[in-house]
Amino acid sequence: MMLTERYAYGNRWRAVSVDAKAAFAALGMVAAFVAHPPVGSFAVAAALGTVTVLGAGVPARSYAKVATIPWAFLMVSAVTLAVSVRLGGGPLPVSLVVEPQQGAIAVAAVSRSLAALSATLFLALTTPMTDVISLARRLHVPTTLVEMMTICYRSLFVLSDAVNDMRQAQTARLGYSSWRNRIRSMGTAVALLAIESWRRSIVMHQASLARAGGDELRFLEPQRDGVPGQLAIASSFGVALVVAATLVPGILV
Amino acid sequence: MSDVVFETVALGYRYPDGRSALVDLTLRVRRGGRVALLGANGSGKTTLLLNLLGLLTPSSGEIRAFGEPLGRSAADLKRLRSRVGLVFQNPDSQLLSASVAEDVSFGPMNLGLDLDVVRTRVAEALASVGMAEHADIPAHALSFGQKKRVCIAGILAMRPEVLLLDEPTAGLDAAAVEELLGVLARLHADGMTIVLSTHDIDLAYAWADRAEVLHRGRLVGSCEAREFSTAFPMFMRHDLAHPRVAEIYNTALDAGLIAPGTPEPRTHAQLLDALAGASIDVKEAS
Repeated sequence: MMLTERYAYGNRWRAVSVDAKAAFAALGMVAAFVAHPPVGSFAVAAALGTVTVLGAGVPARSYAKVATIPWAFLMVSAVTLAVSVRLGGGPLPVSLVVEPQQGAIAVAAVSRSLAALSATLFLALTTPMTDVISLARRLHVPTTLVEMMTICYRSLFVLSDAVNDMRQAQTARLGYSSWRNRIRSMGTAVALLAIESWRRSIVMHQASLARAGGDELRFLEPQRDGVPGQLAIASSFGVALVVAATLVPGILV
Repeated sequence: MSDVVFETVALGYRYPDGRSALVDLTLRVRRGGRVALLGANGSGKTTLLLNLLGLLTPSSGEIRAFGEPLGRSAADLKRLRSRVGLVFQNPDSQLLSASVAEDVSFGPMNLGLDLDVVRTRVAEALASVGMAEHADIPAHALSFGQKKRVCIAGILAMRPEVLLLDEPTAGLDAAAVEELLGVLARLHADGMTIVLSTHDIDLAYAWADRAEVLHRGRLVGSCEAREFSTAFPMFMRHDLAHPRVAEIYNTALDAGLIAPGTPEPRTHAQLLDALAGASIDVKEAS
């Protein structure tokens, strides 16, 4: 199972209502936008990370592992924002330069994105996707979107199993033994997967019709106990975070 | 109320590419029956089940459900599918939501039932297949056998009168097959009509009260449970083996290891009982 999945189902706050966790994550997002970059934004990111690790009990090492890829994306974006290509004006015809103003913009954008990412990670690592989808349904997110989320999330695992099987079958027959074989096997796997997903979509539609399904996918909402209390607590912590975020200065002197 | 739940008359089905999947197929499923659709791979079992539920449209012939011609309007099909449930062979095709409880609720929600009723039915259906404690586990974390049970729960929660199962034991281990048969026995005792497609002659022999044998899309033989032993040559002709229990019973009978007149065993356990009973007699005689 994916790492995010493991903690979404196995964290200390699994039983806390999705409403409360989503409210906190949303207010975390607000805090990310009102904070003064870069120091204020970094502080919000650190606060949200700490809540996820110490509060929800997601091990710091796993948190870092999950965050590595989005962090790497942010770093690459920072470089492309900060560095510009200049033609002429230097000893070489083409040179890379960092304008001080551009550098500042890059740092601000990255620190802010980092804070927003931490808010998203908080939700992703504490709340199963099925809970998030059921919240989206209750919040009247357009039905088509919610249904696509439901089916995509379910198909993610079904198709990744299919990919895994294909890869193993190909590897067992030396499909990845050379560069040439690797390219050919990957091509075949992609083509097969396209056919496989199409075939499965037909059967899935039949299975839905067989259970008297119509134009809409309707499911029973999970029962929610003690939601108002949890929502109140999470919201007050969230609001406190927003207020604190505005108080931290952007640059430490 | 009609005694026949399904009747097909000269049913034919062609795939879109023109290949014939079902040819001139006429059969009846009686209320309260335990019917095994027997056939080798590619014999048309799945296609027949999909036709019965109106998921495929026949190319020729007629299907009657509950005494009426099978209607094609959305309302007719919905009514049919609320009375007849189909458990697909591959559970991953059937599970629509990653949440077990949500998925089981799908059918009852489509029936437009009260939310409290749906909640009760989901809990009862999961309990009846022994999956109550797995309601909050994501579907992708379940084993194949557990997924299968969730699929069955998803159908049971709709309380159908007829249950169609497509190769229900495929991919299950021996213990899971036993459990499945236990669930089916309970449902049948409660009056449910059950049609099960399989290529497993041992399963059909142990479980069914009627067998319909399909071969290359044609119905090539039908028999009641009591006629099974005389139908063995027919099974053999159509790529199906002999039931092993019957083979051993007949051999043991010929070898004098089982007393003549012992009721014919259907299951492995009954066979062992018959053999054990005979061995006691042998000891007493000596």
